[in-house]
Amino acid sequence: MMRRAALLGNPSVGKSLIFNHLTGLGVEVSNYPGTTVGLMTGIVRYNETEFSLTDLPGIYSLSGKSDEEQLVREYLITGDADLIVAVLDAKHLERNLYLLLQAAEIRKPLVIVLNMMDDARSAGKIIDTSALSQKFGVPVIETIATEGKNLEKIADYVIGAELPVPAIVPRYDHHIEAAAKNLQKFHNLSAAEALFALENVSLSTLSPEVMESAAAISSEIEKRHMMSPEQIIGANRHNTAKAISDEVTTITPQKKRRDLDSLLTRGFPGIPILIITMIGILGVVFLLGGFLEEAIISVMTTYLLDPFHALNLAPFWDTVGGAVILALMSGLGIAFPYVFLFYIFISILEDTGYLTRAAFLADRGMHHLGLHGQGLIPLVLSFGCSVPAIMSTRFLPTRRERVIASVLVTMLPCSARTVVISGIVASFIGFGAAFSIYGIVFILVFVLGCVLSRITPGEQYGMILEMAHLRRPIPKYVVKKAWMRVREFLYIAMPLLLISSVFLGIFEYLGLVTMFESFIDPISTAVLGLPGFAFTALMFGILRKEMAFETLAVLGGTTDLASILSSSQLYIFALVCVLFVPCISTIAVLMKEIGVKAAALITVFTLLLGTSLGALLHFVFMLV
Amino acid sequence: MTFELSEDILEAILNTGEAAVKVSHLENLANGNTDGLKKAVTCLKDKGYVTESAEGISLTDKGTVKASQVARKHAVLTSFLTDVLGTEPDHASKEACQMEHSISSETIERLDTFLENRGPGGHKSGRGRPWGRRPAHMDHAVFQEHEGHAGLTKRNPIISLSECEEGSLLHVSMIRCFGKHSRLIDLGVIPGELITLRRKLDNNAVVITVKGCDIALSPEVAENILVERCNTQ
Repeated sequence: MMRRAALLGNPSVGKSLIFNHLTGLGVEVSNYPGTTVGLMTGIVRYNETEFSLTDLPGIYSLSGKSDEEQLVREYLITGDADLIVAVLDAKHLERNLYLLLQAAEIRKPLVIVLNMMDDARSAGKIIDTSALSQKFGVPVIETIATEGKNLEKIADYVIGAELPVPAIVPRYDHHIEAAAKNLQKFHNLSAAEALFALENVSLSTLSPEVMESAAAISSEIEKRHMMSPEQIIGANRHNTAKAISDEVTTITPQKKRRDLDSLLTRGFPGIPILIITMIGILGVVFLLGGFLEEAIISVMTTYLLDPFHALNLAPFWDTVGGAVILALMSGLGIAFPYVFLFYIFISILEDTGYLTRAAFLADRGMHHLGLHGQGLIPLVLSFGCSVPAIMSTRFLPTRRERVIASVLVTMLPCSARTVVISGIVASFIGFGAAFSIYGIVFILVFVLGCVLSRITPGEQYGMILEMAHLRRPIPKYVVKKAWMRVREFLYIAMPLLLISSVFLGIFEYLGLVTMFESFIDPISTAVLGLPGFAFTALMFGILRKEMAFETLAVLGGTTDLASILSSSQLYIFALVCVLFVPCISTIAVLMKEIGVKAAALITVFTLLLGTSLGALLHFVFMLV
Repeated sequence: MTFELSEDILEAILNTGEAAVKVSHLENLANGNTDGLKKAVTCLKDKGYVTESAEGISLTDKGTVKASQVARKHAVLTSFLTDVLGTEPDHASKEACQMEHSISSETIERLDTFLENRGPGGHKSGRGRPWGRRPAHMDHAVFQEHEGHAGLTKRNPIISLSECEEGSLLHVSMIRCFGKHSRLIDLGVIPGELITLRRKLDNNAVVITVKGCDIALSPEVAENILVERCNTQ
């Protein structure tokens, strides 16, 4: 039987580096039942033995209520992990020991990995690992993950002799200990489960009756101590962690090094630096991404689409095949230029630790929109492409924020919509008109953000965010992270793109499109003042937003759009196209991240918003 | 019961302001239980808090200190009940009578500082502490008793984290609306912890250093963390 190990640790302690180093590229991402949090599992082959390694999300505590914390708690108590590899940041040993103490109480075989030994040493901290090993009764490995140092030792321990179960027990307040003992005895629980029950955290092995009796005891304790058991237990663990850390660490005072944070986290020059960074990234991705997208589309047209049409297959197969190629073009045209490039930059920002500083500075502005500092990232990304932007909302701490951010991201003009605005409005009407569309969208987004922050259910929590240490990113892992995103995006979006594209192709083949055109023509003319073919072009924009523009030219039979539509018609066309119904890839990602219901709501909402605003404009133009 | 009654007796003698008080004046404290009253007085005499003479019972020096402590607890609690919780004054006084016996000096001290500094400008101006200045000899007694608890030689006002300036070294005293911020415990922001305020933006968003890690907090989180300035800089 293959052994299964799970990597546990605080965020940014180098868990992912260790995981990547040990597993190579053969990684499988699986969603744990009932959550959107992904668990990465990989198979490690070492010395002719195999074992599986699961990278658990980085957390600070096992008793929290966030998705990640629930997932890890559930996985460690009920999951199939045989042993825990607990990764600790040696420089911040005391804080990291808190989670380790909790993990130790689960009583699974465990090995401690003290990572970032180099950082600890340069901070003047010497850690007596044998004393630490003795305290916990389990082996301790010193590693430097960034240099790959000692990582194979982890594999040695995982496949080697059975690891010991940690023996340490933190000293709890005697009321807590008595209560935990009682719960254990009456409900036949483990010590860890009893403590979870007292802390009022949910776990599938804890029945409602257990939770009820635990709650009764908790409120007794709370009355006596004027503090909830959760707080008391937390404080007890911290005290134990502090005692252990003080005992095993020797600190030699170090000279204070120059602190970049004095620049990055101050209002000045921090905020200008932030703005320049964001605009810079946006600009580079915009230019480079646009160029790459064009290259991909033209290469695929020349070498795939054109030769395919030249085959002169039966008209039906020609249409279907063409639709498949079109879907591939749409998917790849987003995946590499935008998703990949953006994630390269975001991974750099993340790995350098700058992202947390950006979030801190942006916190104030984001408040108006019902978001916190972390919400800056999706909003900035959305100017490039809604898809990676929505994927990045998973870093937001609450569902409420994820929903608000997703709605706003869907509304903000991505680069494809910018193509529509610049290609139609700027070139046929003028720059002023093009900017006015941006203006309308920004006002709508702002108003919507203010409204959503009031009506979206869920409590608004403040931001509590650990600042990652500033360090140099490792190119290999930056690229790898971006590549994982691309793969994920293609898995999510490709099927939907293929299906919808093929359906549209078949409709076109069956003449349904022309039927639709003549059917919609009177309605579209009456409501939006647009001819039927323009509305059909809008529908094609759902596949890929630029396609609305391209299809309009194809259906209109000319690239000189001004000759077939008036300025006001073009303006309405562009505005409706920008606002209404996100593209298929976006809808696919929305469904994945916030659920089918919310995705459907957003789609219907944007459809209504787009058309009603278009109708309003049409009405205004008629009056003028 | 004897313990509470003894404290009530000391307090009552102090409150009359006379050198000696007849036992009969104290009977209402014991609700007609004369035996209990006698027992309590004997007990107080044994402990050296009071002496009995022909004029009645009088407080010794030790008894005066003890009585002042009880009286002060009563005053602080009454003030907290009326000013902060809005309890009706008569009722507050009665409740304070019961609470004063079980509350610790530590808690009373904290409650006192809390009342003194309730928010910037929380107290209406011109209205001092309702229980007046502490007598000089009492300060000494209270602090002696206190020193062992928190290890702070001098009390500093308890203020919100948002009111401190960059670079200050602070002791966490309390976290308000705790349920909303349970992540704070995971990161080690717990009462008693020593933290440094690293950065403060003009909207009161802050970065603090806890256990060697930098943590960014929104203004609404920062204002719910109550801290005490640490003198040992």
